[in-house]
Amino acid sequence: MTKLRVKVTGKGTQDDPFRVDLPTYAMVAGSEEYADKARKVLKSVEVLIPEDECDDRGKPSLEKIRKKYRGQPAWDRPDLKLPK
Amino acid sequence: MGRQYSAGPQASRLAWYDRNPISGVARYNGWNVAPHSLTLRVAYTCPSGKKAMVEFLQVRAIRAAAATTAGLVLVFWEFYPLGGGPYIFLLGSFRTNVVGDETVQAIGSAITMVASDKIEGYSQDGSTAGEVDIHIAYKATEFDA
Repeated sequence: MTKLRVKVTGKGTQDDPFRVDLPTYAMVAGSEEYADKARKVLKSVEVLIPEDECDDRGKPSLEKIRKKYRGQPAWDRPDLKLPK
Repeated sequence: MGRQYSAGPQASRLAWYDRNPISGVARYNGWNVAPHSLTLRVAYTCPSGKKAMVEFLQVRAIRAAAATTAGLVLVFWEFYPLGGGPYIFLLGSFRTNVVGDETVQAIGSAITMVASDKIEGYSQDGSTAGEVDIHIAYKATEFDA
């Protein structure tokens, strides 16, 4: 697994929970960075992701993720954007 | 002349655990976690050309510090199949405010996933102040479909 810091999306609601837009990950506890600390609005977090989804610099690889999840609507699409 | 039977194509197919298996465990272990909104802590998506046997799912939450006002503490695993909507598969919760109050849930040999199926482990603490220890984990073996 490779550890990296990525942007969190969502609002923390049932329909739109705080999450990382990657297919497979585990958040690292205690790594949370808040956009609004009083209201616990998450901005970024460290996650562990599979090594075969990373490029040589240890960042999520668009090419590798599209290949690994080929044919899956959520991950194999031309406009796919990965969190930074 | 006796009739000859073929063993059939299935006889030459290896068992799932012999088809290039990759064993994986992932977890979120948060100690003294402050109240928070619904957060997707751990996610796993079955890759294309693979299946995955989920061998256990666990959730655990323990009150570590009393809240000013106790809210609902939730830890759960949701299964998101390719062919349907999400379903909460394993859930633990409490709404009490005594340090040490806890919920522990685990399930073994849970599900077989096909490509694009997803499992998602969530936590939430609706309290005002206070802290909770949170543990969310899974173990899966991925193999050639």
